[in-house]
Amino acid sequence: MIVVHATRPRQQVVDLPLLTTRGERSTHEVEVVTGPDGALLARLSLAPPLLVAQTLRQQERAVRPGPVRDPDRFARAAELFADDVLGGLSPAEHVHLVGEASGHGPAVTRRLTEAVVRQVAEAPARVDRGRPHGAVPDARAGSAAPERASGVWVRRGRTLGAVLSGNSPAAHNGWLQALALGYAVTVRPSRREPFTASRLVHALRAAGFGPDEVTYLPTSQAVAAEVLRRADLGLTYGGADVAAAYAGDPSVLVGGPGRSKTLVREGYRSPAVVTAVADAVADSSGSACVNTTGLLVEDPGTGATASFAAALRHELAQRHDTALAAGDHLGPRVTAETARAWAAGVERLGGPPRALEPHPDGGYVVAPVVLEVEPGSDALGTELPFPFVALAPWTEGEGVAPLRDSLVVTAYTAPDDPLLDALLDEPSVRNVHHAVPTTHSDGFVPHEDYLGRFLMSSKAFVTAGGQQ
Amino acid sequence: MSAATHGAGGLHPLLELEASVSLDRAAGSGGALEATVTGPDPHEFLAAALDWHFSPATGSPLWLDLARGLDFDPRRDVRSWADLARFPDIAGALRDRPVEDLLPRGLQGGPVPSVFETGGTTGAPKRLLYTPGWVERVLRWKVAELRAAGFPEGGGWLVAMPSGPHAYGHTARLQARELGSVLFTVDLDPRWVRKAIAAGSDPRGYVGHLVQQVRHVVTSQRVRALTTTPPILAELLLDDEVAQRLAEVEYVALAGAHLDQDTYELLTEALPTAVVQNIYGSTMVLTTARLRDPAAPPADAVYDGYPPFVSFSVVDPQTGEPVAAGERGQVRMAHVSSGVFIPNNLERDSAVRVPGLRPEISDALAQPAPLASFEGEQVVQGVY
Repeated sequence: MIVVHATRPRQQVVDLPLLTTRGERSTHEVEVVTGPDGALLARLSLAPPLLVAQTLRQQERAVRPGPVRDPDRFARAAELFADDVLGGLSPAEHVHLVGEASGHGPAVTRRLTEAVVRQVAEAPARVDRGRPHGAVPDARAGSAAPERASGVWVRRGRTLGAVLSGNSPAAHNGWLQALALGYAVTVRPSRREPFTASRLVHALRAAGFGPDEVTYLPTSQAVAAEVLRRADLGLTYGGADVAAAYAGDPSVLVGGPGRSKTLVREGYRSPAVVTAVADAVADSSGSACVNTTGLLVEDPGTGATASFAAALRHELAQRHDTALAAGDHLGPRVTAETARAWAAGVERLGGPPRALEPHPDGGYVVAPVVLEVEPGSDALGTELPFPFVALAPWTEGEGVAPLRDSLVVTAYTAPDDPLLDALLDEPSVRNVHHAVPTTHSDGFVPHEDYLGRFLMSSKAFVTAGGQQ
Repeated sequence: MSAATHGAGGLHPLLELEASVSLDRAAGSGGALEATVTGPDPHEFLAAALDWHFSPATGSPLWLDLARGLDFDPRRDVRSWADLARFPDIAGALRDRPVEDLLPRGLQGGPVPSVFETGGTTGAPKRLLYTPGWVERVLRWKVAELRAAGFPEGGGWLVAMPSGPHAYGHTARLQARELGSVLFTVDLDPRWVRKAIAAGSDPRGYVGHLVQQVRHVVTSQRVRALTTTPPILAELLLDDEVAQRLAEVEYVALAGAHLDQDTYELLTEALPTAVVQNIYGSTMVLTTARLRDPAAPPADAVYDGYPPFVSFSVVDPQTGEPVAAGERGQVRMAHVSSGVFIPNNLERDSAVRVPGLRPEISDALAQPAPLASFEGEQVVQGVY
C-alpha cells in the first residue's frame, strides 16, 4: 500500500543515472524531463549504443541454465518499491514526480503506482498462466521416475530488452514476467516518465537481483532500436509504424495500439452502464490502450445514440469538475503546446473548438470529449491520450464488423447473446469483456495473448530416470 | 612544380609564399603547425592566391569558367579571408567536371596529381586533386603530430579505413613508411554501407565482414596502433579475444563517424594503455584538422586548421554570418593553395566556434557533430 505523506515535494532537480551491470553511471548526454508547466524535473542520463551492446553481452554471459524459483525476491522488491527511499527518492517524492512527468493526476498516479507494486509481486504467478498444460517448469523435478516423458517450458533466449512507452507508469508487466522466468533484462524507459522504471530496478536490486540480471538504460530514440537488436528478445510499444517495422521479426513483440471499443445493446442503457462506460473512457486519464475509444450504441433510429451521448457527456463533465474541485484532474495535465495539438486533433475529427483550461498546479487540463460520428467513421478507431470517445449508432445487422481491430471489446448485453461468441471467434478482437469495462484487468488474464507464449517454448524431455 | 612565369620570369608570388612556409622549422610537438602559423602575411598570401587562380595564365579552367558568373572581381574585391564567403560553393562542379578542368594551368606539365574522392555522404562523390607537393606537406605535418601523440614508431599499425578512391588509405601508407611501421589494412567501402542503410537494409552483415577481417589481423599479428571508425571499434570490443588483444594497443585513431564523449570514455576504459584520438577532417580541404592537444577527449578537443592553407569558420546556417565564440553553428571550410581553391565549402557538420591561432584567417572548432540533413539530402552516417 502506497502511503503518501504530506511532505512538500522536492524542489531540486533529480539526476537519474544509468543502472548498468557495473553499477550507476552518469553520462554527458542527458535528456531533461519536464513537467506540464515546463519546470525541470530531472536530468536523465542516456546510454550510448556501445554501452547497450556491452551491457547485453555481459548479461547474456551471466544467465544460468535451469528454471528460476525465487518468488520471494519479487515479494521483497514489491515491498521496497512501495515503502522505501530508493535512488534518493521517498515514495511520496516518487509519486509526485511521476504525476508531473506523465500528466496523470494524484489519484490516478497513486492507483497506477499501486498497480506496479502488484505487477512486481505477482510476476512469477502471472507468467505461469501462459504455461501449456503439457509442460512442466522444471525438467528435473520428479525425473527419478522411470521412463518419464514431459514437455518442459524453457526460455527462447537469455536476454530481453524492453523499450517502454510513457503513456502509463504501469506498463511493466512484460519485462517483469521475463525476469521471473530467468531472463536477464535491460529496461529502456520512456524518456517522458523515466522515474517508475528507475525505482523498479533500484527495488529489484535492493531485493537481491544482481546487476547482471536487470539494468536500466535510458537512451535516445535512435539508440532504442539498438536495445531490441542486441537482446535475444525485445518488447516494445507503438503504433502501426512500429508494428510494421518489426512485423517480420519474431524476436520482437510490439504492443500495438488499443482502439478498444464498447457496445451497448438495446435494454442496457442504464445509469450504471453510463457510469461504467465513463470509467472505460476516463480511467488512467484516458491514455491507456484499454481505454474505450469507439462506442457503439444499438439504435434502431430511436435517438438512443444521442441520448446516451448526452448522459455520458454529463457524467464525464461532472467528474472533470469534481476532480478539479478536489485539487485533482480527470484528463491529463500537459503543456499548452500539447493541449493545443490535441484540440486540433479533435477539430480535425469534426469536434468543436476548445479553450485551454489552465490548472492551478501548472499546465493545462484536457477536458473529456464525447464525439458523435457516423457509422464507419475513422474516429471510432482514433486513439487520443485523454478522455476521448467517438460514438456511433449500431444495428444488429452490422454484427461484429464495426468492432474489429480492437484490443478489448466490451459488450453490454445478455449473457447468452451469440454476439459474444462471434467476438470471441473474431481474430482481430484480442480480448472480450461482458458487461465489464474495457479498462478492467487483474493482471492474470492475457493482454495480447499470454506473455509466456512469446518468452518461452516447450521442449520434450524424456529420461530413463534412475535406470541406467 | 612547373616554372609558372610571373612578370620577369621568376616564380609566381603564390609559389614563393608557399615555399616560404618552411617545414624544416617543425620542431617537436606542434612544430608543424608553428611553421604555418608564423607563415606569410595572410593578406599577401590571399592576394597572391587570388591572382594565381583567376589569371588566365595560371588559373584552372573550372575557376576561369566560374569567374564569368561572379558579380565581383575576385582579384580586386576579395580582401580578407571572411570575403571568401562571397564565392559560391563549388561542390556540384567537383562532382561532374573532368579532372583536367580542376588543374590550375600554372601547374600543367608538372608532376601528376592524385585524384581522391569524398565519401558521397551528401550525394554523388566530389573529386579533388592532390598535388605531390601538397601530399608531401601534409605528410610532414601528420607524421610530426603522430610522433607528438606518442605513436609507437616501428610497431604494427592496422588501418581499417576507406582506400580505393579515398585519400585515407593512401596517406596512411605514406605515414606508416615514415614512421617505420608495418601497415596492415582492411578495406572499407563507406558508399556501400550508406547505400545499404538508405535502402533500409541492415548494415550488420557488412560490419560483421569487416570485423572478421580485423579480428584475423589482430589475433595473428602484433598490432600496436589502430585506425578505424567508432562503430567498427565498438563492434570489435564485443569480441572477447579481440578486446583482450586491443587492450595492449598504444595508439588508436578514430575517424569517419561522430564520436561522442560517453562512447569515448567507454572506449578508453576498454583500451587502458592507448592514446585515443578523435580525428576530424574533410576531403574537401584535403586533410584532417589538427588536434590542438593530441590526447584531448571529444568534449575538450579543439581542432585547428593549417593557416593559410586550410581555414575554418562557424556560421549560422540560415544567415551565413559567423556565430559568436562559444556558440554552435555550421562548419565552413576553405582550402587555398596553388593546387586547389575551395573558398567556401559548407560541411555536413556543426561545431562550437573557438578562437583560432590565426584569428584573421581561421576559427578553431570544438565538438563537431553531424547536421541532421544537408543540401536537402538526408545525411546517412554509416560505419564511416
